[in-house]
Amino acid sequence: MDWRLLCILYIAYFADVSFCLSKVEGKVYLPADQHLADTRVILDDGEYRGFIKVDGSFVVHNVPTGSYVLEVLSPTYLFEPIRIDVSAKGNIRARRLNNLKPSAVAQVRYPLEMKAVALAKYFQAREKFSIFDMLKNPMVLMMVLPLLVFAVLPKLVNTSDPEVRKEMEESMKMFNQNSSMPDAAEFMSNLFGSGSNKQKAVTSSKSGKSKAKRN
Amino acid sequence: MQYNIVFTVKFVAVFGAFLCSFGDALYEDQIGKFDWKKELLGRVDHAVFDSSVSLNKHGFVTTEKGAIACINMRTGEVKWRRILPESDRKITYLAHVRDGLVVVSSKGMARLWDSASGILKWEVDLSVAAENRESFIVIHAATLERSYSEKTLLVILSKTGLHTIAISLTKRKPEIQSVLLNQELTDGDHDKIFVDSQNGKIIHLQLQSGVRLEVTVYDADNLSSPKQVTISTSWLESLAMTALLEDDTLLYVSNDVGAIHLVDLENGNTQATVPLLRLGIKDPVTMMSSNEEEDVAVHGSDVILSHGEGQMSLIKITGSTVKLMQTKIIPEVSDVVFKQKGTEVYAYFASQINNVVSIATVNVKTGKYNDDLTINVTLPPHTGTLEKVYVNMFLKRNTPVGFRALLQTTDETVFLVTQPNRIAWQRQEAIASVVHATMLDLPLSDVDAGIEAEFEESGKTKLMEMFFKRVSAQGSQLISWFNNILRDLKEDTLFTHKTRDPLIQVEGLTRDPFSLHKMIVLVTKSGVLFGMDSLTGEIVWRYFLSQLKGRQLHFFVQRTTAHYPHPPQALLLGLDSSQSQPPIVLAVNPITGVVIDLSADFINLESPVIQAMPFPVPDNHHLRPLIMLDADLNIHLVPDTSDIRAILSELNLYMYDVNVSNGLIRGFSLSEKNSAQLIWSMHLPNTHKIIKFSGKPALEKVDSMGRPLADRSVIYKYLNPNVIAILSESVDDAVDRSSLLLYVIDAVTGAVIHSTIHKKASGPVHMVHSENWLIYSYWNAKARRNEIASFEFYEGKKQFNATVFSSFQTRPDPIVMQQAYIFSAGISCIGVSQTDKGITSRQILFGLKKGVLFGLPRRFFDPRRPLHATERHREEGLVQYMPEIPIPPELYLSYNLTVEGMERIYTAPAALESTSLVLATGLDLFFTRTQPSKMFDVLKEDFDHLLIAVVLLGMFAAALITRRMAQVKQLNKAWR
Repeated sequence: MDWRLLCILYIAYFADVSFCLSKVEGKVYLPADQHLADTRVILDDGEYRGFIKVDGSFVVHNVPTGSYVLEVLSPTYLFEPIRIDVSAKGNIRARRLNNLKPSAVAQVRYPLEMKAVALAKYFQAREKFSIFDMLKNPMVLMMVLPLLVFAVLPKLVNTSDPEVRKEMEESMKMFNQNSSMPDAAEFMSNLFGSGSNKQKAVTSSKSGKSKAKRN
Repeated sequence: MQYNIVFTVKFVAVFGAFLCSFGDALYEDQIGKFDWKKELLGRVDHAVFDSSVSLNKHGFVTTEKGAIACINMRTGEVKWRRILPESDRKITYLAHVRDGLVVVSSKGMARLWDSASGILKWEVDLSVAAENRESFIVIHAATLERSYSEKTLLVILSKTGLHTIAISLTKRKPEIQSVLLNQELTDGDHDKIFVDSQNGKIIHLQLQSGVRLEVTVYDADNLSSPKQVTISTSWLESLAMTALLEDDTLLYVSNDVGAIHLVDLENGNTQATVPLLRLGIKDPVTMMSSNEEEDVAVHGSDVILSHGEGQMSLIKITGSTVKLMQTKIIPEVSDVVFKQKGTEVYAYFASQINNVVSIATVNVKTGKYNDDLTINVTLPPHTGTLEKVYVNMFLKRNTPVGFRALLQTTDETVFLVTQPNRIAWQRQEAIASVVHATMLDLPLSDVDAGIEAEFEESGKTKLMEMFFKRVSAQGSQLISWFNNILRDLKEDTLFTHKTRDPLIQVEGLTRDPFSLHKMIVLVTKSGVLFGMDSLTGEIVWRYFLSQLKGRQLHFFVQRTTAHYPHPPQALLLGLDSSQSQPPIVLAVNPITGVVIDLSADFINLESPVIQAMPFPVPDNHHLRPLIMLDADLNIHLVPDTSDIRAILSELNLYMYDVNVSNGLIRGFSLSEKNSAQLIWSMHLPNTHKIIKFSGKPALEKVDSMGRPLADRSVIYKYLNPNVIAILSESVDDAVDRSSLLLYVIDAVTGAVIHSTIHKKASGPVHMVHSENWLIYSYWNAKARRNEIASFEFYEGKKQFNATVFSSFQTRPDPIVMQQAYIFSAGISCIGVSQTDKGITSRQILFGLKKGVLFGLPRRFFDPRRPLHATERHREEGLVQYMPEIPIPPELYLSYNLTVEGMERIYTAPAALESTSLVLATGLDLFFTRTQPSKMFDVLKEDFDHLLIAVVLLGMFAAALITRRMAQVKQLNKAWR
């Protein structure tokens, strides 16, 4: 089906001078029929209105030929707006509202069945104080986790057990070996000092002192 | 079902993106803390009471603004309200039938509402039967309540036919019968229908050419075979002097002949002609009651004639004899109402002398005036005159009947008066049509004012004297502070909130430190001025001048409350719409409501005032005089003194005038003392008509002169205060040829700064113009959607003259940036937040037609929004361009409330830089405040003082304990 052609046909209908008043019908489905009295059906922002009966049905009367947007407004729920096209002969077509591409046609069932899409959320939740939320804070995490590692972990391991102690000593050795790796500053001074040793460094410091004295 | 899911996903995605960037919604516990809403109805058209026999709680009204409402008659509160569609607002008939409310609109929609809940029971479109549905108009309607059957018949006379709708308790759907009339009725003035509930008849009276009455009698159950009688009468101007009596008798009074005529409806023969003189009636009859009531059975065969100066004669007709029962003098009667309950029939006379309204009662059966059944009430000052009275009569146990009445006055106030002589409540429906609102700071408290007064007279007094004054003033401040504390202690309210608003803790009408508590001055269409407390929405003062009705009203604040001891002053200018009457000028104290009428000074004005503007600078009494320019270009000043004339000649002022009707825009120079000179004028092409124009707010505060860019350079704003934007719509409204034309003009020189055309677009437009930007909404006729255009004007990277702006300097044309967006909701008004220093970013406020006040940060309308956002754009705070502007419910300032029929948004700054006060007027009144950049200058409401205190104390204690512990440890170490 070529929707575009159909659309052009519809527009041709609108351009027709003949005039027709139609009614737009539908039914609103509300969860457990709450807030029926507060729910409103408006066409073109209140130019035409429909009133909902106890069974949820509504009729918008005296709608002339043209294209309209039908909205169901409720303080609690959100509904999808629907575009209603009324042809010169009084035929009615309902389609999804697409403001970006007004010519796009995605038809929906007529008579309309308006179902709540989502709960309207007007408010933001108050942030409540809770330990869990605070712990999730990255700053707190950065502080608390190392603290745990350094303070709590050694306590967990039973140091009086000789086997464990042995193991720990071994690992300490490993740690010491690692720490005996050349220091970065030392490495640099070695590099630029052209194969110098520790003595040179000492002398240089001495010479620094003497310079200070001279001053 | 699939589209629903897609829709939700889209919704969630948009919301998600939104909340990340703002999260500036209300908290649920903030409801009602600083916002309030007044639910209004508008000017009452029709009113009925619950039709049950005994006293009932509910009353129903319909209004000019298309509202149908159920009002609690004990408190005056609205129980439920329904608004009719804009296309069909006029209500012709209202009746209460058993447990339903019948409303018939002029276009032929008959609806029955459940009176308890306001839910629609059924609706009938009567125009369906008509050939030409466009011209279907309901002229008159009546209810036929038949006691013996359970059916109630609603009888409706339209221009083309007579229709009945049978309302039955057992059947859900109403039964409709229609008959076409012989010829189409011309207008409603010469036709009327009556019903006879006892005999089940419908009688249609039609006055033809003043001497012929066409009477058609229908059987209520079968409309098809009516009986028609033509009665030739002596001259009758209107149907007001005719009455239908119980037993098929028509009565009419002809003042020309000076007689009462009785006509038999069966054959059209005149039964009797009784000269008025024989009844003792010397003066012509001015009013005949019983005409209001549609049901013939209500007044039976009794008629009340009003003649002479307040003489009321009760006349009884039996067969063909006419008998005068009683005549009483009740001066200034404005309304006579017949009421029947069971077998009791009473007539009520409402009259008003000065502001005392009295309702006298006469028992129609006996002809006796009943003094027990009289209500005399004194209406409050500044109330208009009585317009209409609706009486509710009910049966009582000991006395036969009791009554209460709904009074409507010309200032659109509705009162309910009850026995004994009491006003139960009043509703100020004038507030539903506000034309101007201003929010003003409240005056300082007496103690603070004492210090202010010291500065005022600083030049006159000596140093020592001033010192002592200061010490005594501050001493008195200290004493009053102690007194307050003591009082709070005594009343045990020291730590409780004084008001419901957490930020306002100063009681009474004095200024609070944040200046959040304001006086709202409302100017209404009906000529009533209100002073309203912004904290609660209570009316502090009101003023009514009936001559203001129908005039164009303008309100100017001349002196604020900041200049103690000078009282604040504002001017109300009422210009005649037809430009034939001299203007009305009122000097109003906006805090106390004291009004001085200055109109006498302008009574001799020869030509109409075309433009008015307050001085940009105050005089030496801190008063900003008003300049008025008349059509002959003469300058008038309020107040007019030689000093002010001297200031005016120094000021080098300019004025502009936009004539919407002929498209002429003119600029004037006011450099000479007494008259203005035309310096430029501009005619819009006659293919377009001006629909909106807007200058920038006077004396607007702009904080920053430019905007820093990502490359660390600055782009300077084009801050010309004289710019006006004019939008005009094409006269041709065909979709393909319609267009909108925008001119941005320097109002001093007349230079066109910028112009744009929107093709295939039309109004209505709503505009905000401020600082260096302009935002307006329009209708894209081709794509059938609302769009918003946004403009920003920049001088460029170099500032031309940083100290002063002059329109006469030749400077380079400003750089114009523009963008447009899709806005998927109908807009009824646009406003912008205002803050004290203008540092806080602006929020654009939208009044949506669906009854929502919606606020969006202005950066969504920044014309520099990029198509592809990069890191540099994000650094500048630019949001990526999206064609559609999101409207999430989180940003509704009115949350789940419906603010019906919004027309205008007013904003005012508070002393808190973060906060702007917002007032939306229309059918409803809604007041709230907004923080466009969140509340950065006050601790949040939910700031946990206790937690901070506990943490600090805990830290302190921990420090002490650990210090002690460390000392002990070191000591132990030393001993080791």
